[in-house]
Amino acid sequence: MPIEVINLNHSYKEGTPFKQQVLFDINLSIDDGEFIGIIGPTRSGKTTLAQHFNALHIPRRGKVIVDGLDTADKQTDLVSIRHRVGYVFQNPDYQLFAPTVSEDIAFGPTNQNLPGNEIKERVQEAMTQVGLDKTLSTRDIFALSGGQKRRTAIAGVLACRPKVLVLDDVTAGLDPRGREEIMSVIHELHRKQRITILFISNSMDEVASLAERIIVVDRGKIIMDDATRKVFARFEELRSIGLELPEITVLMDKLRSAGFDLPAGILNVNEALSSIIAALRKMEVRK
Amino acid sequence: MKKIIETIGLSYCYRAGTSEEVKALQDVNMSVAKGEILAITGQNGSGKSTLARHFNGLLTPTAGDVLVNDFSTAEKKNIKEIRKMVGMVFQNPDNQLISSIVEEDVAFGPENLGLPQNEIKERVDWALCTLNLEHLRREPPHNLSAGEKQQVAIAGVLAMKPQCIVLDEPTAHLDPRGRREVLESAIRLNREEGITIVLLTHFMNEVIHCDRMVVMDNGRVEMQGTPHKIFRQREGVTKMGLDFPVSAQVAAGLRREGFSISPDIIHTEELIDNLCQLK
Amino acid sequence: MELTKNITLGVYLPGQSSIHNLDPRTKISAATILIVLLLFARSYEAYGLIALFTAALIFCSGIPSGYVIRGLKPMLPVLVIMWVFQLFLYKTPDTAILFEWWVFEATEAGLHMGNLITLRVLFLFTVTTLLTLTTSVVSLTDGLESLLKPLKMIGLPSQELVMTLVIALRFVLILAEELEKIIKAQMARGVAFDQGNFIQKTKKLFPVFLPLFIGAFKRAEELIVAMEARSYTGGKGRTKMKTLRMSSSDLSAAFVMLAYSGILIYVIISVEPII
Repeated sequence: MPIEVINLNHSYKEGTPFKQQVLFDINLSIDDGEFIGIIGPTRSGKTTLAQHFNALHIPRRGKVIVDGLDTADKQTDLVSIRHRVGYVFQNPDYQLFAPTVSEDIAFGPTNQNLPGNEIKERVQEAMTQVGLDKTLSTRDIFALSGGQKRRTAIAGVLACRPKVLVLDDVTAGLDPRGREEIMSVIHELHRKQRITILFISNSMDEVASLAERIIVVDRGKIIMDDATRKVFARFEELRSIGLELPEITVLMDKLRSAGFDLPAGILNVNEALSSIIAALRKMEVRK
Repeated sequence: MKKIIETIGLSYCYRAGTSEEVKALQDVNMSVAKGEILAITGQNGSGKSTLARHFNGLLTPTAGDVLVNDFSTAEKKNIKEIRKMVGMVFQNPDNQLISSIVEEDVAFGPENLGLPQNEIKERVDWALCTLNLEHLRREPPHNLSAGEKQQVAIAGVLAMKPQCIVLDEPTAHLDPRGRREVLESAIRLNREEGITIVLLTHFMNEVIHCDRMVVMDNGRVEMQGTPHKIFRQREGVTKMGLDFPVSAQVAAGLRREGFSISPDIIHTEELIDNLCQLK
Repeated sequence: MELTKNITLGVYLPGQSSIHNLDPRTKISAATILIVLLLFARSYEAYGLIALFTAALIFCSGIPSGYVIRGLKPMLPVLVIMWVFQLFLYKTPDTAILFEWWVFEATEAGLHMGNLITLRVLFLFTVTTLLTLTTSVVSLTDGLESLLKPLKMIGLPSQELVMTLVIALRFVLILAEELEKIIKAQMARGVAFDQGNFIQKTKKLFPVFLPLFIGAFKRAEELIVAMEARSYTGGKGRTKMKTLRMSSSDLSAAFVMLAYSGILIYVIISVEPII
């Protein structure tokens, strides 16, 4: 289910003295099964852009076409677009409101007016997909840990069976273990279900370890749109717009400056290790 | 070294005495030395925030004692002095800024202390200047990034001229740049103004810049020591649900391959130096 | 989806106009006088004068009149309902009947009453909006605090009240943004807020307000702790960083207000009320 963005412009508070343009001439196309990281400094417009994909924002200038449907067309059923493009928000507290886990997850399918047994089935399936134990289904929402809340929020969106999943900074505020769990859930969703993932994050380490393609947004414009490795090889530019690089990339860069023969664009610790080992062996370092 | 904060057999229960009693802290013995930067880390729910709130009397012990410069927080008459000595910055900057203008917010604490007008002005200027926030002084917090808001919150505490600032996961909701800037501010306040810093965090790349660290789990202090000493204990750290600093991960991997790499590496520079020696 | 776009009440539009630069106490007192006079205005002549003066104020403030009027838009349904109620329900013994509808009669007295009340609310809203558009929250509350100080003698906790207001105003925008996020999260899971009848629409709001209230309580709790940590113990013993100072332009403003009030009071007294 492809998404096509053509010459998209967007302003907040249109028609008031506070008008502020936040997106400028965005062109973009997203194919089935991609895993795309969207990065950019705070207030670069990445969230506003992503909220165009599920018609939370409707373009006034330019077009957004989801699965062949123009979101600005009056004939388009926006609710069905929102079911096809799921959106998980940064703070699960905004999203969760039903008393128990299963009731909250059932909210989306209920809005689709599905029969009761189908809803049940979907709730169970979604809980399995995010690794929530069955015993949690009657658990009070407020009794959940931060990581469980996030998984419930993701399950609530998955229960609508989206083909595209937008994840807006979903690991913020979690501890290392909680973060790791969410990351592996997302990785599995992409690997097993082939769901298209749009992963918005402030953590370059997370983006680097998961995404295949990266879109860099700065001041409302797309300034890079390329394979992950190629994007992170341009670290000077990333730094100049105020982004921090993955720690491991910085480390490798420093080692290169210290005279080690290492490739650019290393994205995770395992890659780093094998290339350092290779370099050391080549230098015939005694063990 | 002189202790600024000390907990002695500190235990704390939420809803103490009811059937829903939750033991949040159990027999915690730890201290904060004057002039150091101390990191407190541990998984969510390990009790670090509850512990931090004992440092300036926002919570008082169910059992045991907390001493701030030898004043017990359990005694009501000490609270005012204790709050002047120990300032606190919280996780969500939106929920701690009171005024709609930055400089007015920074003035809030000194105003509460009942200081004369010119001294409030001096302190506000000084706090904003120390944290490089002068250009934001007339802005509403609403227009600032989360990182800038957190810097303003720190300035608000700084203007009360505390001896110690406790930062309760100040970086949890910030982007990496905001996070780095808040950490740099904390370190600068420590090195240049001599303020003792207690930093609660999940990020190991922040922990390694601290003089000492305390690891909490299930309401207990499980590990204490310098970051170098703690990250050597690989099994213990993993059991606590913590990450390793990236350089330590690489170093461990190289050691497994049989290269002669020190087990003490946590900083990038240390790893680079060690590798250069191998050349 | 932008909730905050049409809110003008409580929004400050920075500027350097003669009205922006007045002392907040002058502006608050003037707005109070304008509002009190509104309550006594019961003729179209009086409202003509009020309209002229208000237009002049908007002009002096340098704020686009379209923006002020946009703020009235959300109130329109309420105004229409009020007007219809007055039209059908307000009666005097000797009034003429304009027309009948089902069991209701629209009277001439009702028509005038409807008009007067609608005008009153309209100008009340415009005057308050103009005050907040030209006065920052901080100077507004400083002004209020200074004006309310004498009331402390009769036991009114003026400082605490003003502090409450300061915080409320700071959180209006935060809560509006939060509401927007919650609504978006619901829409993302297939809620169509613009579809269905009145009851269905109201039912859809439940899942919106629950997280909003829970969030607001959590914020309030955290805020209290944060204030306590910064040694706040109520108004007693607090000092202020800034003191307000009047200037010559405040004196001129007082003269303008005096002249206008005089003329308006004259019009109110001399022109027969329409009702």
